[in-house]
Amino acid sequence: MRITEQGYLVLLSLAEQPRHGYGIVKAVLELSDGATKLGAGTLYGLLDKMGEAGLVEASGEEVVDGRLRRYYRLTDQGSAAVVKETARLRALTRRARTVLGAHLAFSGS
Amino acid sequence: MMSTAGAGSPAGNTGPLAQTQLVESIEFWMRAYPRRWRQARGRELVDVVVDLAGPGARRLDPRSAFDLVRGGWATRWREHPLPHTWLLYRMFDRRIPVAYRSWALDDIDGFWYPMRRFLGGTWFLPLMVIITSWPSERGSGAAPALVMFALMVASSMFISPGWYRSRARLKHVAPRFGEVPVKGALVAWDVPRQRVMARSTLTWATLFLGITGAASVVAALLAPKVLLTIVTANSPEMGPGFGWFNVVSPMGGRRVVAVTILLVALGVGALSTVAVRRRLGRLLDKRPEQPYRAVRPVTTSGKLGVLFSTLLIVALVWLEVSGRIVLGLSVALGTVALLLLPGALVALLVTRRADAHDLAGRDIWWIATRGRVPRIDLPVRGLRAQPGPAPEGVPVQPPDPTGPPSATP
Repeated sequence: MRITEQGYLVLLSLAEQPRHGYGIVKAVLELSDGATKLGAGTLYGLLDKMGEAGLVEASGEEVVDGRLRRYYRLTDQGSAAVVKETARLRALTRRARTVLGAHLAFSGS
Repeated sequence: MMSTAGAGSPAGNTGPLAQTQLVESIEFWMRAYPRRWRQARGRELVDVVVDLAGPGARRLDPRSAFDLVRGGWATRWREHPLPHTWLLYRMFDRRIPVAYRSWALDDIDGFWYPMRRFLGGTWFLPLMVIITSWPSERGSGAAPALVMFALMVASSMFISPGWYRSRARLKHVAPRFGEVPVKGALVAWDVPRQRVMARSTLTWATLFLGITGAASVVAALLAPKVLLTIVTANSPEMGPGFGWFNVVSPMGGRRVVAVTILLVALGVGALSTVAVRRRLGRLLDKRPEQPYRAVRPVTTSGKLGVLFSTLLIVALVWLEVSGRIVLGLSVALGTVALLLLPGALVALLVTRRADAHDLAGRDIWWIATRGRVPRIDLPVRGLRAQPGPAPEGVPVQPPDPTGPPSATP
């Protein structure tokens, strides 16, 4: 399964601890510094696809103030996927710095 | 855009009325999701959307509504069978693969399933009509056939939809003997026989019979034309022996005949109420317990069927009264309706007075027409969740036919 930026942020939010749907949306908002506000339809589409791919799983539910909270957590496969994606992004960032450094040096700024 | 609520207590101070309106709004847009998805996770999704909407929100904003609709249709698309699988299922009723059983259950339980099933097997008929009537008649000859096809399509919604659904569930959803069940799998089982409640049946039947009877009387009083069959013997035009031909004629004295037929039918129906009342009074209390029966009111589909049939009757009468067709069919239908109407009315009054919560419309018909107590319904084949945990690796076993039926169909 190809991991999109939104999917990566969801996996990252679950890497810290199991979260319910609203908790994931809040965590993603913080992780992306306010840039990614997931709608409920988008979130559950991601959770469905990741669940089918074996990256996340439901880990229990509770009712708080009359609201159903179903918690999701990373599977071992999901943890490996988020680590791998983070490594890929780190390598990409390193290459980007190299390219930008050469560009800035060439342009003399 | 949704206004994100505070981190600690999202939407915590939303008033009850506002929240109810918001939940209704969310549930409306959430219908984009498949039925089974909503049943499994709908409440969770609603609660998340309520949290995201923030305090005081009364309805979903356009962007959030679009997000739900997009997510719902994406879910439908993701779970839809592949085209060739879908075509075989829809057109040839080929058994759906296991991976799509949940989708098939949604499809079969969907409101429009009877029409989808009918169109799946007959969609090529209107195309053939258009192709064969084109270009010699520029398509004009296809119009009556296409109207007839449209009526058949509409009728498919009301002709035994329950039977078709039940058959399709058993064929496409139930695991066959020898398959390994998964947790919560729906398996074939003996379930209670569904019957329509007597009061509900008689209310709608009386309404339909009354409108049909009244419409036929109107047609008999106002229709301008009638079809006469002329029988000839050794006539120069028809040749030797007996012959016959039809001719469209003004009503003339035939109007009296038509009205008399309808009045006689009503009179015979009124006389039959004596027997109906006596039989119901004698046998209603002697009816047996029905341990394998579940009664329900007339369904929405059934009510729409009555409405559709009534509209057809009214259209028929309009055609006859306006002289577009000859009087005839409405008198035949009206005769049957007026024969049955008084008995149905009496039965309705009796069942309204009696303790008849378990009484089915079929019981009334049985008692009124045969004068005997109704038979005990037997359980029928249906689906229910696998009772108890399914041991891993154990195939589906045939149910015990001597055991009690499930309480839920």
